[in-house]
Amino acid sequence: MAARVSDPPAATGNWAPAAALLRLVFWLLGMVLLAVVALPLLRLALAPSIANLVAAARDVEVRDALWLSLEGAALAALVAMVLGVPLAYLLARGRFRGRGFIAAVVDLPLSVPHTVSGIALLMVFGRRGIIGAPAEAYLGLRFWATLAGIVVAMVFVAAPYMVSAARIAFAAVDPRLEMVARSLGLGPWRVFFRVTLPLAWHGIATGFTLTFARAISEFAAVAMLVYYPMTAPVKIYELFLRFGLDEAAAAAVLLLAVTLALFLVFRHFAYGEAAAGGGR
Amino acid sequence: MTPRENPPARGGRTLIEAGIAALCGIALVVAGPEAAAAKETLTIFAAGTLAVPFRAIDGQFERSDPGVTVEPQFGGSVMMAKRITALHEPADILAVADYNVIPKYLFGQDGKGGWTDWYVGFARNAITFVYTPKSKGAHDITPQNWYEVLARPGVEIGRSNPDTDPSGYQTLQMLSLAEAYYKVPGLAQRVLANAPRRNIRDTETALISALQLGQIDYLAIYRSDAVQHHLESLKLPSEIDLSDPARAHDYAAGIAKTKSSALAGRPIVYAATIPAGAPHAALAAIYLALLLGPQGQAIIARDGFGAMKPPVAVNPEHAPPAVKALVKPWPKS
Repeated sequence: MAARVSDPPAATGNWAPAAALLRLVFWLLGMVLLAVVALPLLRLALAPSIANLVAAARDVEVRDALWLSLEGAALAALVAMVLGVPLAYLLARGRFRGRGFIAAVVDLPLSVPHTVSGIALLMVFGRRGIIGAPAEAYLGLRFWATLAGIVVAMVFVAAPYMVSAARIAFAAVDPRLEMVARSLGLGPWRVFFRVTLPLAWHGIATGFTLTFARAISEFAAVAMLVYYPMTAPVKIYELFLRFGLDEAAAAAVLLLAVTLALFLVFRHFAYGEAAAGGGR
Repeated sequence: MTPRENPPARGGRTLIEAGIAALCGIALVVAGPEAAAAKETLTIFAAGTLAVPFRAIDGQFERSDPGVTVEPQFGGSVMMAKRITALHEPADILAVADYNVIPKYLFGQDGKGGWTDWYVGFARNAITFVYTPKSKGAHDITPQNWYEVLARPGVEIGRSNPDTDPSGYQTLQMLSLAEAYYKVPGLAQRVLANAPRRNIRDTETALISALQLGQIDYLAIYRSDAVQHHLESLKLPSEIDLSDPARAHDYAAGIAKTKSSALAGRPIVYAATIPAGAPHAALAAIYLALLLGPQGQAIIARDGFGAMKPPVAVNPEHAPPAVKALVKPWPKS
């Protein structure tokens, strides 16, 4: 080791090799992660034969399950957006007591085991639950084995993604822009819809995508309330039990293909909006 | 802050060194529990209903041989069998709720390509209905009028998926036997009208919380689960509850129609085997001997199962000697 010498800050000198090295190291680390994520999915995608894929796609029960999953996840993402975006705005802008506590509560479903989520939902939305009982008595609305039950379970497990993404997006909007708009005579509702919401739209769209993805993949919480009619994850599990890996993998690959296509559309939509109107 | 003496390249190198160190650290942490364990691990794949007695037997086994850790995994019987045959997961013992699962999924064709060629029956069980004091009709249900109470309007009955789960089709077989036993045509249909698809799960234990929360009133389930969960249950006659291996011939008259086939009733006998490729086959044989011996059978009986008197085996000559010594040949039905 050399003696302690106080070098001048290295403002000069050739940093190009270090920068190249940094990129190389980051690429290597990133590729390891990418391999962990992509290899199992790729292996799964190659598992079923074409004949199995065709058979799965022609199976009415598989198609119904896929459609029900899409329907449930889309509804869940919409509900999470309509109810979650206002809450996210309050959490980002409000200065009230218990703000941190509410934010923590919203994130809590992420850490609850999904079978436990299912039991907790049943306690509230079941035939004798504090919401389930009056809903059935006065509205004829049941959550046991219905689309409503699927959506409720999906909202429970997926809404944290919506609220978190929207909260970060709102927090990144400069409050002075809102103040300027107010000073120019716009009312608070119009400022929100014409200034704040468009600026935060990219983050909200990301949240919507994540919420949809989390919702469509949920198995345990949904299966606790609703086993029949079967969503795609429940159907895939049932196919595995009844027939085996090939049939289950074929249905899983169909679900992946549909989800991937939707992601690409969502992403294009979200980034397109950001490029056109973000400007930050 | 330490004074910066290193030229940029050295800085990069230390970054790599730090990165490698971090990865090694992660690898150590991830591999740690495996690497640190000099103990042998006995892996058991077992039907979900066996969780309580097997945990107790695991404890005894570990006390008698401190060098061994027993790691049981519980799930649906067919699921556990397929994890061995389709997913090739290593397991030392497979224990299923329906002995037929083993020949169906693990026996090869004509003695070739199989995962095993023997199994032992080590416990019996019975199909019953459980309920709570809040269940509709709970105050006047008896072992005589149960099928009338269960068919009343508004009663919600839960059951397991007959296409994937033994207790699902065993429930249908029991109801089919009940129809003949009580001489009440249409009994099964009327009871099942209150057990529609919405009340079906892939395993009946997933519905215990629904029963306790009042979502359903009755749940078709094994007697062992009723005992272990301290639930009220019906005492059904042994002519219909599938609990008596001596009645195998009569039970065959109870038919369950599933998506794949019509299944004839069989006594509910739990069976175990040591699959091919078991990493600790010798230990597995010692475990099975404990399970089949008086200690294991006492635990089995305590947890609501029927003990086997005596334990029986199909192809006992292929079983390890320690197991073979404890069993009689499986009775021909």
